[in-house]
This record gives sequence, C-alpha cells and structure tokens, in this order.
Amino acid sequence: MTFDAFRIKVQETAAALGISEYELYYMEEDSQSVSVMEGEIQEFSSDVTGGVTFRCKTGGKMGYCSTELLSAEEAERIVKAAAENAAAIETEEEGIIFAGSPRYEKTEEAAQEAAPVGEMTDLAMALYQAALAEDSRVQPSSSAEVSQGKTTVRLVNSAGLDLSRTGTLQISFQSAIVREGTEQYNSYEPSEGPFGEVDIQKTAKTAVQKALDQISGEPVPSGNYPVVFENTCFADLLMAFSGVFSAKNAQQGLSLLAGKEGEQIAADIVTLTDDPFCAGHQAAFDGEGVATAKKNVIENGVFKTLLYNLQTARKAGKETTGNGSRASYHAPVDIAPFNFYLQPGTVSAEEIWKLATDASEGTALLITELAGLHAGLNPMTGDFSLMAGGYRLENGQKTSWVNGITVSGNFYELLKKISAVGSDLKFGFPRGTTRIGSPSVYCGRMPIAGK
Amino acid sequence: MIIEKSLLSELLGIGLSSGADFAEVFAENTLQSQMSLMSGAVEEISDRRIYGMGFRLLKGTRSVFASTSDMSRAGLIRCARRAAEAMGEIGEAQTVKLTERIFPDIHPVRMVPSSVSCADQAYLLHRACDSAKAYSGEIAQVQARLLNVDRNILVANSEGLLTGDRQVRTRLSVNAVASNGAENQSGSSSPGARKGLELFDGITPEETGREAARQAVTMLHAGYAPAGNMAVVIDNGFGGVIFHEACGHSLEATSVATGRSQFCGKLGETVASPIVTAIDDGTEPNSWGSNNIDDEGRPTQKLVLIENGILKNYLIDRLGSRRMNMPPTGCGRRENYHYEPTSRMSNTYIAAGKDDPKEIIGSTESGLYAAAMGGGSVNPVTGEFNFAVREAYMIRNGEIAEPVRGATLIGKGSEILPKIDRVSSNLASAQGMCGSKSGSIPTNVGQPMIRVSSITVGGR
Repeated sequence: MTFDAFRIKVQETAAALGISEYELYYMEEDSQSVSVMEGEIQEFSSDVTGGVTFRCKTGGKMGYCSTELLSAEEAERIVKAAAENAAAIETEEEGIIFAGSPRYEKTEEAAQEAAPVGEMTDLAMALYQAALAEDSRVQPSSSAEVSQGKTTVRLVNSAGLDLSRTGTLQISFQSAIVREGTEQYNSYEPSEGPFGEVDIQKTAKTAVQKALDQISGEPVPSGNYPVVFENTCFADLLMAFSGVFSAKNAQQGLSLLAGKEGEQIAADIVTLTDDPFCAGHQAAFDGEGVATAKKNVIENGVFKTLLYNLQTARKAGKETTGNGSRASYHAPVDIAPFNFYLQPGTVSAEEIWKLATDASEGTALLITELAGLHAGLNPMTGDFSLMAGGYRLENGQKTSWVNGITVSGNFYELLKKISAVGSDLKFGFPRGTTRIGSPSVYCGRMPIAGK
Repeated sequence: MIIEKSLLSELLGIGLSSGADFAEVFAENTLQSQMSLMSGAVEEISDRRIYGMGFRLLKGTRSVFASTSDMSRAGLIRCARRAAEAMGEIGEAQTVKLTERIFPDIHPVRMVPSSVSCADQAYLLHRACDSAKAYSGEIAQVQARLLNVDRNILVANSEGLLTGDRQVRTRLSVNAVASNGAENQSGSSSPGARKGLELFDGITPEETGREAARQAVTMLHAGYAPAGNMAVVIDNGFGGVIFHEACGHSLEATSVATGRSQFCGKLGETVASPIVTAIDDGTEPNSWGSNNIDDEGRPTQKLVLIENGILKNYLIDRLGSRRMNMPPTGCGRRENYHYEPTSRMSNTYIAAGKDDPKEIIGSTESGLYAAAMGGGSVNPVTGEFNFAVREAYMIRNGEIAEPVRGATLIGKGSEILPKIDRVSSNLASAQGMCGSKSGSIPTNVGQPMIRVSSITVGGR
C-alpha cells in the first residue's frame, strides 16, 4: 500500500490503543548506478525502496519500530511493538514529539532531474576511456562508476506536523590502476554534481596522475615532520571526529568538549561552521521536524556551541540547534551536522606548502590520504594514529611520493596547532544528511612512523 | 514462502527473456532488534524489519541488479522488468521450472530472541554493566548493547534452484570508559554467535563486562606507543584481523577476478611463511560468520586458502567464477537484499601451529605485544593494510612490560605474511563486522598467538 494508506492504518491503530503522541518518519529512495571495467558496462544496479519508522510516547517514554513492509497487518504490528519497546525503556528522560517551529526556511527545489541511464553509461564509458588514453601504464582493470539517487523524506506526527523534502545526488567515481613492473598502484577521483558538468579529461588526468605519482614511493624515516593536510584529508579527519561536537556524547561523558562553551579551543584562525543551506544540499528541518539554522560551532578559535537535538537541549536548559539527525529511515534520532566545514582562509594551498617547508630545514609532508579512520582513532581522547600517504614537500614543491607511514596526534591539540588555513575549501561526499568540508591546513610538526 | 513459487518462475522468466543467461531472485524477511543500555538504564530499543527482493541477471560477465521493497505482485514484476530492460530488449517470456531443495541445518538454535521478553533481555545488559562498574572505581560510563537478528532468506534461480535459510544471530557488545577526571580511555568486548540467547550458556554477560572494563582501565594507565619498526607479537582471537586485512580481502574474487589483487596468478606459489596455514570455514557449527547456504543458495564450505605458506584457493562467488573460470566456493554474501552478492569471508583463521606462547614472548628481546586488536582496512590493489591495537604492551628482554596506547600497525600483505616467524597452538576466534562492496556482514577472525619479525608501528 502507499505510505498515505499505511499512515491512516497506523493512526487508526494508535487511536484504538489510546496512543496519542506519535510520529512517522518515511524515506523513499530511487537510485541507479553503472560501472565500466575492461572497456564494457560490467554492472548496472537500480534500487527502489521505502521504509518507515513509527515512534510513540507512552508513559513518557519513546518506543521505536521500523519496517519496509507497508501492509495493514504490519501497521498494527509496528504500533504495538513500538508501545512495548517504550514500556521497556528505563531512562528518566521524557521523549518529545515536536509540535513544529514558527517558520521554516524556503529551500531550493530538487536540484537535478534524474538523468536517463544512457547518459550515465556514456559518462562512465567516457571517463574510463579517457583514463586509459592518459598513459600506457593504465590497466584495463581500472574502472569508472556513475550513480544517481533521489531521496524523499516525510515526517508526519500527532501534533499536526507534516513536512517533506526531496534531495538528489549525482556522483561519478574514476578509479585508475597503473602497473609498473610487477607492482600496481591505484587512485580515485570522485566528483559530485550534474553529470553534464563533469570535466572528463581533467578527472581522468587527475586520477591517473595520482596513481603514477605513487610509483617508487617509500616511507620517510620516523620522526617529527611539519605536516600539511590536503583539504579532503582534513575533511576526513573532521568527519571522524565530528561526534565530539554532539551534545549527546558530551552529556554522556564521551566528549571532552562538555562544559567548554565560551572557551578558546582552537587557533584564532579556526572558524567551524554548520550550514544547512549550502546550494545543492539544503534541509529546512532536522530529523525531529525542527527548523534548521546556520551557526558557527567554533568562531575565531572560541567554542560557541555543541550541536543539540530536542532531548539534549532540554537537559542542558538550552534551545535545540536543529541538529536532530536520522542517518537512515530506521536509525533512532541522534545528533549530526549538515554542511559542516572549516571556513577557508586567503592563502593558496601552494603558499601553505611553502610555509611548511620554510619551517623545516629539510622535508615537510603533504598528507593526501588517510586510512583506517574507523579504527585508528579514539573520539573520546582525540588521539589518532593513522596510516597515511602523500608527498614530500621540498622548497615549497611536491616532490616524491611517501607511503607506508603513519601520522599520529591528538585532534584537540591539532585544532590549537593549526597555523595556516588555505583558500581551497572542498566538500566530501554526503553521508546521510552530513557533508564535511575543509581547505588545506598546516598543523606544524607531527609524529610520523616510517622506516 | 516470501514470494509464491509461481510468481518466482514468472519473474525469472521475465529476466531470461532479455537474453540474460542466468536470473536470480533473492528475497528477504529479516527482523533485527537492538537494545542499548547507557548510564545504567535501558535507553533505546530499535526494531527493524528488512523486507524486499534483490533481482539479478547475468550475461557472460555482465551483471544487472535491481532491488525493491515493494513486494506486491506489480512491484516485483516492475523490478524484474527494470533489470531486464537494462540487460537487453524484453522478448518472449521464458519458462523456469523450480524444484525446492532443503539443505541440512548445521546451526541449530534453542532460544529465538524474539520469543524472550524485553525484561529478560534487559537483565542481561544490566548484568554486563554492573560487572564492568564493579571492576574498578575508574569506570565512568558503560554502554551495553544486545543485538538480535532473525534473517529469513529465499533464493531462486533460472537453474531451477529454490531454497531458503533462517539465520539467527545474537551479539552482546560492551564498551566501558575509564576516566581519571582529566582523560578517558575505552575498552570493549563483543562476543556473538549464530545462535539464539543460548549464547549466554557459554559466555556470561559478567565476563564480557569485566573484560571491557579491564581493557579500559589498563589503557588509562598506559603511555603512548613508540613509532618505528619492531617485532610484534599478536595474541590469539581478534588478532586474526591481521590475516583478514593483510590477506583475506585480497583473496576475494571481487579483487582477484578484476586483476586488482596482489595475489592474482599466484595459486601454487609461496606467499607466506611455511608455518602459515589459513582457512575460511563457513560451516563451523553456530559460529558468528557461519551459514548453511550463502546468499546465492550454495552450501557453505571449509576452504584452505593457504597451506604451509602456499596459496591454494581464492574465495569465489558466482560472478567471480565466470570472470575467473573457476568453480564458486559458496561464499557469495550480502548485507541485505539491496546489495548484489559478492565473494566474502565467513570464519577466517590462521590454523594452530606448534609454538608455545610463553616461548614466543620469551624469545622476543624487544618489541610490541598486541594483546587485543581493533578494526582495520586494506587496499587490495597494493595490499597496504592498517589496523588499530586496542591493548598493547612493550616487550623488553623477553618479558611483557608496561602497557602502551594508540598503536597502529601498518604494512603490505605480501611483505608481512613471509615475516610470520612463530605460530602458537592456542587458536581462538572473535567476532567482527566486515565491510565491503556488498555491505556489512558478520565474520569471525581468528588465529593462535603469532609473531611478525618486523612491522611498522604507528605511535608517537
């Protein structure tokens, strides 16, 4: 049955059971993906799915139940299951079903019309062929993947709120594999935005060059080196530590930022912003139906605010920042930023490289790749030790490739050590409603393990 | 049956009408629930039904995959047609005759979690939490989660196969935080099995809570690990993640069939030290990574990957088998129906050797003892892997010395495997979630204590 028919059945069941406060959060996705390998379309996939979470407040507690099966029997089942789950909750805090914000910002219409499959196939093929034409060492096992998706979210609750939004996404992913002797090297070059605007030659050239650069890479000797993180790399690090800005983590003793609002926690040049209205990625309401707003989380080094949802804000005696988040239709309400980025400075990335090499007698490092971000860091302490790759910087120039190293440090200390911020702000791929961006940053000396 | 037999035949027939030489339906009805306890109280219960179909067509080495959560007759036919149209022109409907087959159940379940009350499940979490707190006054926070999965799958294909499986899994995860006021460290323990709540006949929630707390407190009193190259002794159990990352992923057809693995074309060659034998075994009764059949409807297998250092087998799924011209090994897996299946590990381990764990430490003059490992990742093309060490100690003069935190181990699979110079006899396994192209799936990693003569340790 349709979501609306299902919703009515849910409302009837809730009424019959005397449940008066509840919410339905529905998400529908339609996505396609094409990948080219060995010169042929090897894989095509298409996904059309929908899922809904019902949550209700009974006895003051919130119970959840999610499903992908929209039938009359299932509507009854999820209402009963959510009420049973609510009864098992032992925390003191009351759940909140939100009645609505006074006003919601107007957002742009869904940015892109879905492209025909033929256009996706053509782009994937063109990217693949451009990469192969770039250098004789590029292997046929290289690939190009092109995908698009449309997501519709609808939030309906017993307090009369009925909100919806639709977002679209078009991404392409060029993967180049090069061979030199018996060794293989690979790289990726992602791009996001309308397919028609992808610069095929440039994307292919960048991907292939990144793979070629790695030939004859080697570790540097262990030691402390001046380190520049390339924009996408620092964005990865910010993503991995973004949970420290969650009021939920702070209230549970899992973030060292608890109680630090108003304190200097970063260098003066650091301003960290959460903006739900960046073009192409807009959301007027959060996962609880609260109107979103732009805010600086760190402003000129001073910690301005944690990110709150309704529950954590009430506990702290504050207003929610509109950061209630749902990573998927079935995820319970958590806290996350929208477009979360370090404000760019005025110097170019190249000028930052120069700063780093001027600061050292010999070699500085430009880190362009980080691996193991799900494991090699501790969000509670801020400590990290991560496998890294990148370039040696000498006299302000990128020279040879460096691999087989780790870079270690502490996220909180790093924020204070940032001594230059580039102008090259770049965003990574969105994960759920979160997208993280950063320019290149220079962080002074950091411990490197190598040979 | 999730989808009627006659409709299954019809869907497969639509698939074949496009010129595909193989069509497959994978349907799923899964109930997944997770109860979380935080600060001593049950804080959240999430309950989810995953329900839908993944429809796949193959033509040579080309694949087309479509999935849907609309399980009405019209929705399923639309999904099949969407795939067929992407494969080629839809011609005359073909007839597919299905014969149902039931494979033996080698993973019996005694207590299906959904039949046990919320209160009884909450009690398990409280026991784990109380025991973690009782371990030390430094334990500041305990998070405990109980995950139950009841996965019902159906596989039907144009070769006439119609089969299914019911897969019940249970896992308890405890994360304890130790604090001295100024800083925090965490420890965790997460036992699980392809069992129901009888999991707790063998493992008590108390042990799990205590282990998480012990690790957190130990790390709170640890300094930073040094950086550099050194001998590393990796203990049994989750230590097996080193093989999983350094080698396992690179032996999956996903990498091998597309020329993306450092182990391409190396069957029969020496790839590891002669004391290394490694196995992937999806048939281990009731193990976390086990199944009766894979998600392509094939019985799982016990497969020797490396025998005495020589590469013997790859992990091969149906599409990989076509690309590699080698038989599939019953390892086609996926997180759920949204994903096309691909070659994956199940329970993967380095087999027991002959060395004595005490002798291994005693003969190591200096180095790192990795007592408990965290997660990791690998780039199969280059073989470069990394993983985090959750609990580590320095080894000095053949003895375990002070604890150290923040160590990461990195290297290249093909270079590390020959450097394994000790394999002990104390084989043990531990549970993890493995992420790859077809999503996040339960896998076991395992090994006895081993020593790697030299590996790069990331510290400071």
